[in-house]
Amino acid sequence: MTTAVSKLSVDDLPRIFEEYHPMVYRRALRLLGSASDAEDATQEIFVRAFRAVDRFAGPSPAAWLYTITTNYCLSRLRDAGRRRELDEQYEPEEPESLVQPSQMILLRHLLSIADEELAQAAVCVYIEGMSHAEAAEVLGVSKRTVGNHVDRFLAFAKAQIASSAELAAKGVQSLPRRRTE
Amino acid sequence: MSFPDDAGGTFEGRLGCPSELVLDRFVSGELSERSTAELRAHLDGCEVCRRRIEQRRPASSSVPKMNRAEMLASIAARVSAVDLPAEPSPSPSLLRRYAWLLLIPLFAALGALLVWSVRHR
Repeated sequence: MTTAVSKLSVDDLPRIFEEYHPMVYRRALRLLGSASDAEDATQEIFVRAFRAVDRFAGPSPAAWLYTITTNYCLSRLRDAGRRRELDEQYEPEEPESLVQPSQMILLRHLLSIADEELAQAAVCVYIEGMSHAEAAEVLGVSKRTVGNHVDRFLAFAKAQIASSAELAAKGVQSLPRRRTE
Repeated sequence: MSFPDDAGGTFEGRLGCPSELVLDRFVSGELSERSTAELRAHLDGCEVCRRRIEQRRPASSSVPKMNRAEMLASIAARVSAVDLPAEPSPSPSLLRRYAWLLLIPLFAALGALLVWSVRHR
């Protein structure tokens, strides 16, 4: 069991990896949608975290790894969106999950094309279920900024969905083609 | 297809349930006593969150296909690969490295003095 800490070093890597890698994997799987992508991401996230371990200022290794995981996975989603390889699969972690695959796939697409700071706030609030105060702490911004970013993301999402429906009615595919295999 | 204001369908909990981060911090022992007590009170009345906690227990949170030891070794190697060149080099300073060159003029002067003294003896 790990308690809150104020400082970490490279020597802490085995202990932190053992304690937190399931958490990082689970978060990456939720965002990326594929087990192999989530595995790659888990490795990359720990490499990035411990190459910059001096920047950890405490107190929560979990919150620190959440931020790195969110930023890394959003970057992967944007890259996949540009290559038109966004994964359309979403497998709930368990049958009784409240997460609806269609909603998750839509949100993943929107995250891949939204501004980075709006997407970060949306992940915290819509996927992680954080309050604005909690998201503000994790993102290092004010609560008001989180509220502003979430509102702007929602407006962006609604506009995208509306324009995509209009274009679809005209026979034009506005959303990137998604990987279906 | 719509995207609801409360983003229902993208969060594992219900409206008002603790966030994923709170549950992860609870499982890792990072929560304060007060937050832990509040969460336990919530868990008593919330089957959804009890299930979310169970998903995080070691027995049920196995990571598929992942060889943990191999992955950790790979991460450690990549982290070290960056650390090594960044560390200050233990090589001696230029002065210490080439200090012996200062002895050349000294020996040359001593040699010349020896030759001069032999010739004028």
